[in-house]
Amino acid sequence: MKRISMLLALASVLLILCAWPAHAAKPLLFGAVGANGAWLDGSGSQFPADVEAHGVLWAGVSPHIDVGANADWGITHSYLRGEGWAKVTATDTENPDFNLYLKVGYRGGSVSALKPAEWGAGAGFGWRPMPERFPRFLLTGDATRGFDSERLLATLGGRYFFPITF
Amino acid sequence: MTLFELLRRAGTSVADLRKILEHVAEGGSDLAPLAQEILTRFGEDVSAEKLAELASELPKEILNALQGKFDGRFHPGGAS
Repeated sequence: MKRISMLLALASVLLILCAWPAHAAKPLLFGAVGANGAWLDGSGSQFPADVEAHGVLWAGVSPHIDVGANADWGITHSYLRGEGWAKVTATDTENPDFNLYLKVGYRGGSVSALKPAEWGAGAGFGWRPMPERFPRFLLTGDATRGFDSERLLATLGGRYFFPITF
Repeated sequence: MTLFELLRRAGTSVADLRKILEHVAEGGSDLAPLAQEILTRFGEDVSAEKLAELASELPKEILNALQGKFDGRFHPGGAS
């Protein structure tokens, strides 16, 4: 399984490097808040399932690449976790309502199951199910495996997103 | 699709639209003079009513530019 994670990470990094804009445009910034269902596999995971409050900031740096960071608070098990990441969109970049992505990230948290901080790779999706009626409401899913711990952390969530302009 | 439908779909406010037009105007593309003209024409007073008026006058190129307001750089997966 570790080999799969490493291959996924390698593919993500290669795609990110290939898609990085030659002429960097001003990044577009976004934020979102919401809630997750979260699942962490493996022995001693401390929170096999939890409900999390979620906040994320990210920048669209090219039609294929997003970079960002998120923080999540586990409501039942009282933990804080965070992750910095880069994602490469694997589907139509012109579709603002749905995308699948590959991701590499560095994650850590306040409980031993999330320590030490580690690199990981994963995949996920974002979906705007009702763009006409609720244009800022998103559904998301993500699954990321840590390289060292080999723990899979999966989330499903709802988000309210907003563009950030200066 | 009208401009308002477009903006609503993108969750765009009037203030955001101004920024988009400014971005296009400063971008140096073929659309820059037109974007500048729109900004000049409406000045600081870009109201919803004037946008509705504007929507019926916008050439297809501007609509396309607005539709791609995020230049393909908004992906809902960024929020996960």
